[in-house]
Amino acid sequence: MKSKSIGLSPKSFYYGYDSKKDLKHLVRLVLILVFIALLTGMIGIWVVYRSAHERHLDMLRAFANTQGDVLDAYMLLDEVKSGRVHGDTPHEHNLDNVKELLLKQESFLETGQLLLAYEDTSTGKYILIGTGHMPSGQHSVLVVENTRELTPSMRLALEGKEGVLEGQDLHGAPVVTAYLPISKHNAGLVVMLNQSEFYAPYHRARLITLGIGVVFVVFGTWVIWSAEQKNLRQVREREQLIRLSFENSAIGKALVAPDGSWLRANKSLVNILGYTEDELLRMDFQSITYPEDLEADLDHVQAMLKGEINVYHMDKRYFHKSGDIIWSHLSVSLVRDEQGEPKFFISQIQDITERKRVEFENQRLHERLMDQLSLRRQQLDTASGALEGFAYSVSHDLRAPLRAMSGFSQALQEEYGDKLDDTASDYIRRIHRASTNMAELIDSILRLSRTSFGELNVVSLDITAMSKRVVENCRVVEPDYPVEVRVAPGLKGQGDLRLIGSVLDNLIGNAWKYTHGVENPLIEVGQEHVTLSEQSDDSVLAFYVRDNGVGFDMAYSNKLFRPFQRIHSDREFEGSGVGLASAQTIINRHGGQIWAQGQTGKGATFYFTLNHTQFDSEKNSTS
Amino acid sequence: MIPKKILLAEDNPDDELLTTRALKKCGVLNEVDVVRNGQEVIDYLECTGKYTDRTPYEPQLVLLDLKMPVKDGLEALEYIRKSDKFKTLPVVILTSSREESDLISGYKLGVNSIVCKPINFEEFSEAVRHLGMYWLLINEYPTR
Repeated sequence: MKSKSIGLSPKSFYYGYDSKKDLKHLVRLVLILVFIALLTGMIGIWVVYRSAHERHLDMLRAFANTQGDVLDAYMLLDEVKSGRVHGDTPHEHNLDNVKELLLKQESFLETGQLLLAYEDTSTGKYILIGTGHMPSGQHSVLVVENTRELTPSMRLALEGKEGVLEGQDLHGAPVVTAYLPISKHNAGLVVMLNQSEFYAPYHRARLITLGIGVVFVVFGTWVIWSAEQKNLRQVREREQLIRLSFENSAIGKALVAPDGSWLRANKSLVNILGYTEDELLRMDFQSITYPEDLEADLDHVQAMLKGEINVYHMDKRYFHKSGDIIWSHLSVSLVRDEQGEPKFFISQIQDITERKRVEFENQRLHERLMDQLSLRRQQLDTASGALEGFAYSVSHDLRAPLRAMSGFSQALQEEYGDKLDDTASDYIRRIHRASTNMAELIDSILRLSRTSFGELNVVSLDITAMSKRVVENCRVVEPDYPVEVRVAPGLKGQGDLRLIGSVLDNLIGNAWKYTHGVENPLIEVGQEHVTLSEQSDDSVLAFYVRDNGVGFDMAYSNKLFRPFQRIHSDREFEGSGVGLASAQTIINRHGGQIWAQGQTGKGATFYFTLNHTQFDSEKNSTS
Repeated sequence: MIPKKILLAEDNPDDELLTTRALKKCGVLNEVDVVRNGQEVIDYLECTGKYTDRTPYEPQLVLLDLKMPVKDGLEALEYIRKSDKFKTLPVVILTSSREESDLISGYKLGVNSIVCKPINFEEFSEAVRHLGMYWLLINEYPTR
């Protein structure tokens, strides 16, 4: 299918206006109007003409009647005067007199003639008496052999008929006649008027009407013409508006035939693609589409031609005239004709090369970051593994020499104790105690390392039940310790059962430990809103373990959670110094926070949260 | 009479001395043969390698340290349990490891008992004493 076969002239079809076509249309319209005007005028004139014509003919006839009456009256008067009212051959004489009378009479109007004819009984010839232009003079008498030489109207009059007739006089000039018989004298009377004179008013009227008609038609044409011109100008302006907005749109726009040929391209598109419009019009979009993007585009085109979709958008690549690849965002809609057949596509093409470049760059950057991240993670995993291995080695390899120290000092004491003095025995005891302490330290390091590695197995936790279990364990170890423990009911959380258990072990164990020696020892486990800082109103719902034990100096609070930092000396309270450090590690791994408040001699409160989502949801539900 | 020997696999001479001393102190008078790694355990049992000339009899009890060079205790244990000849041999792991994974692999491989080596010599002696008593005197195992 060729683009031109769809019947669009590429240059003009989208203007929607064809000057030649519209001119023809206009001329046709004017002609129709003129025709209607003329037809109406002619019918009007004809009707008026008919009635006027009849009236004029009637007048002519009436005039003829009047003349006849006059002649009758004259002849009667003549008879009375001569006393031959009842004579045998009166009419010859009478008619002779009438002849005299007629011959004296002037012709009427300009070409009007009065004709009288009768048969001369003596000769059998017909005598025609007429006023006006008779062949033999101004007033003349004509004698003819028979009626055939007379005009048809006179013949009709002599036959005793009455009427009007258009015909010719004896000279062949066109005339209008009215005829009637004067039966008393066997004569016929004809009133005759030249047609030129009879119809002169009609000619004048026709000319005036024609003139006025022409003026009206010209004026009407001018009015219609100018109205149409104004309309056309408006249409043209509108078209120009559309054309200008098409031409000067910042977005590349094109009209594309169903087969893909470019029908029209605006300046922006020309700039984007680098081809001139004329060059584009000789190509189709397929030939400058990046091959990888062609199939998707054609799929869309087919779907649209089938009516499955109304519009489509896609990012695709074109080849610039220079061969560069242009990234574009394409939006296409289809225009159909009145029959629903696809007419052309409206394509809007935006140059997004720069955006794509940035996108690609971002993607590359992202990929590089991810690579780096995974490398870091690998490094971290390696480091973690190394650290884990190190902790493992420490726990095994360091223990062996300790075991030797401890074991052989013990063996020395057992087997050679009697040979040693007190000082030597004391030294041996010190070696033994030191090795035991070191073993505990090693165990602590191992515990701390265990809390830092390994998977978090997050489940729903019943903190209340877990706390109670810790307390029970403490009571098993020290059943006689008169401490009051209050665990709030319904404490729930999310976390790793073993690790959070270890945190509770630690915190409750600490509270248990540090309340020794105070009056009415009390340990409370619960949950409350805590304001994080004095500057802000933000508060979190945190679990707490509170005791009224020896407490601590807030000045040292930052040391609490560091491994092997102990505020209280070994002598007072047992402990390895990694409990709070591992608690902090565990809580941090859960995405929570742990902190402490206390005062020397007035007890301590350890708070912890399990994650930030809890903080958010709590905040929302309380606000 | 076949001597009721104990095979001790221990690469650390200190631990070896402490173990044998503890056994003696507990009244376990059985002879203890000591090997240094897992491979030597296998060689000892199969009378191969440097034990080719050994009089072939099975020990009454194998005490295995876990962490040893060449082949570790778990590898030796795996070999023993896979061998038709030795799979009924009582094997006890003596280890300083408290790693759960070690314990689990040990039991999975069919160890009879795992005893953690305590640092404290008294505890250690106690553990060894129990071991010796149980596996040498109390425990009944199939006679061949």
